[in-house]
Amino acid sequence: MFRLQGFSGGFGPALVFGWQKPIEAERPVANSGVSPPLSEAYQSTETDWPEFRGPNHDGVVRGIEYSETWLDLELRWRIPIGEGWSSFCVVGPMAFTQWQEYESQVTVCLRAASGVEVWCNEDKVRFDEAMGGRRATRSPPVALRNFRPLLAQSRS
Amino acid sequence: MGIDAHHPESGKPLWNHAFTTSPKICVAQPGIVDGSSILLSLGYGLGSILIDVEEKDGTWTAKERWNCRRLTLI
Repeated sequence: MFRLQGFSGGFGPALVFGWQKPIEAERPVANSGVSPPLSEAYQSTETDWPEFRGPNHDGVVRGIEYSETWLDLELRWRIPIGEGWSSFCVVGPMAFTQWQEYESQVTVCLRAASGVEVWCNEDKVRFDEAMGGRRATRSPPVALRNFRPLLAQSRS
Repeated sequence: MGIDAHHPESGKPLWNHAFTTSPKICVAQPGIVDGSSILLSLGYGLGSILIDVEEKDGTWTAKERWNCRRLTLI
């Protein structure tokens, strides 16, 4: 009658009714067929966030001014995505992250300004574990130094 | 298991390097060192590896420089 969905942060079991659909079944599959070409030059800026915890691995954002009020924040875009604990890396016009959909882990490049998908790469691997849950965990790092752009991701 | 690299504009695969993490532990967050190397911690008790990445005439290579069981990030 019940199904173990995983464990909560307090290590309590999270049970759902057996007839309830898994949440992921309601999420759309990433659209791998659409990849509009990028016309912008691939320029890195001071406010890029090229890897986990930022360019200096210290979690500090430099080169921005903070608003003193939250009231002027405006939602620019919202899109459905798969499951994951990954954060985003942002370089120039592009944002990268990784999530899990059904039997695949997907690395995705989105336009940061619009949320439109530029490309995605699907690996037929799946992480599903009671304590950690269903997820793809990493923030894909982006390296722009020394030579041409490089995006690296680890997979299960 | 492993690490894959892609061109950020096209998603085209460039290289990959296989490694094994702990069973049921998959938090091998890659970290970039000096712009051309990648440090990976593999999980509890497995240590870390450093991969050197090079590009020459459009061909990418990724080689493991060292593998150290005593250096762990998690």
